Amino acid sequence: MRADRPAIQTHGLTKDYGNGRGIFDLDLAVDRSEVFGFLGPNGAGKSTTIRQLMGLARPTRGSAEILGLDCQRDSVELKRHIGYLPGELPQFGGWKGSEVVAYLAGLRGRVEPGDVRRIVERFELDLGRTYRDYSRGNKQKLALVVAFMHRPELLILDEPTSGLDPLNQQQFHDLVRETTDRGATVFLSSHVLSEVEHLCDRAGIVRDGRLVALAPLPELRAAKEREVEITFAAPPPLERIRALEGITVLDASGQQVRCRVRGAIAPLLATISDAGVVDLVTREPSLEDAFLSFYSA
Amino acid sequence: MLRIALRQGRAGFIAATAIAAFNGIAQSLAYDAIVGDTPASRAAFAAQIELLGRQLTFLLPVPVQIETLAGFLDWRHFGALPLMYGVWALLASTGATRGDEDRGYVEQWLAAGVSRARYLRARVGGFAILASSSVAVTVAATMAGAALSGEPLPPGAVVAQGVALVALTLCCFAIGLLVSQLAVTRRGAAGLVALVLGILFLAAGGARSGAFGTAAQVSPFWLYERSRPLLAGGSLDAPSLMWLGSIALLGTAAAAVLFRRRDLGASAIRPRIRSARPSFVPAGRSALRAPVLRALDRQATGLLSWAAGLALLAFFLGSLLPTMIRVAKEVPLIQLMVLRGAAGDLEGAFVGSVWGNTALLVLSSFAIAQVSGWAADESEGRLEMTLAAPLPRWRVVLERAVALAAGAVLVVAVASLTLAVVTRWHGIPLDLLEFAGASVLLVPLVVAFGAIGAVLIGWRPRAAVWILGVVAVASYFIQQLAPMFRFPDLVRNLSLFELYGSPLLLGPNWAGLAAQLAIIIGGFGLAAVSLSRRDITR
Repeated sequence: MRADRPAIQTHGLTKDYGNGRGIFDLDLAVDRSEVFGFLGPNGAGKSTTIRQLMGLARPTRGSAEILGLDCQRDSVELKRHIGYLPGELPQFGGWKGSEVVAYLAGLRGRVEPGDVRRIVERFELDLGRTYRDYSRGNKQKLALVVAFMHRPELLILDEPTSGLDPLNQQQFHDLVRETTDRGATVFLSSHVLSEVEHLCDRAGIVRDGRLVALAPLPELRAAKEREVEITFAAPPPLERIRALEGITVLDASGQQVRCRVRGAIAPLLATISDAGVVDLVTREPSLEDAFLSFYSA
Repeated sequence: MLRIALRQGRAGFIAATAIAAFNGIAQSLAYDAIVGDTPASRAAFAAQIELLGRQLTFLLPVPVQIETLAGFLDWRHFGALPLMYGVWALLASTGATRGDEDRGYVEQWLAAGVSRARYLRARVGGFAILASSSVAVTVAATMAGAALSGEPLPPGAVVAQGVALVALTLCCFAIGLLVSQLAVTRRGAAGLVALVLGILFLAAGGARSGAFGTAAQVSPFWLYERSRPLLAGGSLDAPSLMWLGSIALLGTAAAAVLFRRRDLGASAIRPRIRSARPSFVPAGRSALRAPVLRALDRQATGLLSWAAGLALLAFFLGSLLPTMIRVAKEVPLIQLMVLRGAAGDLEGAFVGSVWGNTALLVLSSFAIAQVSGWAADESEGRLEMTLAAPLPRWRVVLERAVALAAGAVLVVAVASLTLAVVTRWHGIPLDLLEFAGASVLLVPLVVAFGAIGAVLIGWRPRAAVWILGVVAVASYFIQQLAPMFRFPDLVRNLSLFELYGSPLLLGPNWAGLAAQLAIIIGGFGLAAVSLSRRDITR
């Protein structure tokens, strides 16, 4: 392993399944100790990329390096340093949770029981129950335990909070922060913009198998737009609203105003607070719209 | 709903119908080819087969009127079909209940407003249509085969035989539906139903030879054999047909009641609710962390079930051996066929002939089940998790091979020990050292089956189990039929079981053993290369 190389680096990484499916010419570098969000709609190529990084799928062309080692050639050595959470959870049928953990820890070796216990207790996961009896969320928690249990240098997580309740999502966020505090890198795919905002230093978005955007999170936050629909008791203060920075009025009819807000919503709320607001509805833009609006601006 | 049920069952329908129809035509044509033209040659053939058939009473009905094609088909075709239709009913019933539940289909249908009663009605109705259609095609093919061989069958009698076969198949399906309600998964259901139907099948065999008394006569397979309309003077036996129908109706009704009462994904037998403290630590069993042992630990229940099942079969066959040997001692022709001209002892040769072939078929099924598990490891994401650990792919293949061999040793040891005890109990003299050697030689063949399976799952994972199943069944029947029909060596050697040979009679087949080792090394080597190069899919 080479400490001077990025945690993850891909060069023209391509997996072509035909008919435009797969991932194409991906050039990406993820720095060490970074939390990188990999975003995109279903079928965009996120999981395909992750499976190539894990050496589970062979690239059609191009290459990928993790911690300075080749993902295909040095796949076995690499996995000593990687914690992996698959996008589609495995099935362990009638095994107990404790047996699944012991089995996978045995395959990996060098897993401290204390580390396992700490994560399991954190998620309040009962390992005494059979895997079949676990809810979707509990299966996800078990997969997280397996990914984090050996204190990996790099975590590759495919939609890690899928199925988790808000409390356990918070536990996951805390766990990621603690992990990066000790110098580990996290590469996670997600559909949830708020999660990426919360956790990631940078994010890349893929669409139709291509990386269409890559940006640090502060830029992403600034790019975020939301649509706001306000109903007033009296004629709306249109001029004052239009004068605000980052506000675009889309429609104004009668006592209703529909506008797009980029950035913080607080200035708008302050402006209309004395105007007799009857109702206010905000609509989050889709992840892709929000992200791409930065580039189209 | 009915259309979905028909669609779900179409693969089983195609496979069962193809095998049964082909068998009907092939048996008719084979009979025509080997029976000879003169009444004397027919009588001689019939005498041979009827004597030979006494050895196979644990598997097939007692052969009678073999001098006619109708009699031959009654024994060789319609006598063997219950086993195949029973297996189809097993797969269809466990698939209709537990298989669809495992996949979440039942939950979706019930959520869409389909009632449980309607769901079950559709599945039973769908299978009844498929089974009736399959038997109708088989009956037509058999009649066509008989017509081609110049000895047409009376249509009414063949149709009546078909009615009995449909009744038996539906009866097996109902038993499968009922027993499946007690399991939690499809695999568990398949094991339980196989155990129940297997016992009923063997009970019918026992009833035929009088070994188990009249208690075994409740077996649907025994009831089916009461109807032999193809034989001169035979007819459709109305009481046994009514019994079959009653069992089918009662079984289905009981299954419906249990299905309505239980939770989806749960057994009809509710486990006691235990209040245990939550556990936050990994299991302490060191076997889960050790190479090979972890694979054996994972399948401990399955291995014990296989060992118990084969031991049960060994006990059953061992109990029949004294009768079979007594008959053989009285009939020089059987001695000649079993000894194949060699100067071995008759008892040993008999044990080798009856036990060896059956054990090979069951053990090849054991290997196929392991291969099916390997394919499931990939499709259910366990292989992905395994390879997320720092483990070279070739080690996965090596561990599978060694675990398969170790599992086979355990199963063979338990079954062989059972047979040795039973034969001693019945006073059958058996050279224990030779018997132990013959038992050990069963293991490489199991591993060779696994090696072929390991290659197949890298190529066509979904087809691997089917292909291996066909190889096993074909190998068994070639070996069974070769002496009867005097197959040339070329055909005989197509059977993979031929590599095992007849160690109790002729000593170890060293060339066959070398070929098995070549298959093992080549197969697992190829599988390791293939797994190293291909993508892991789900």
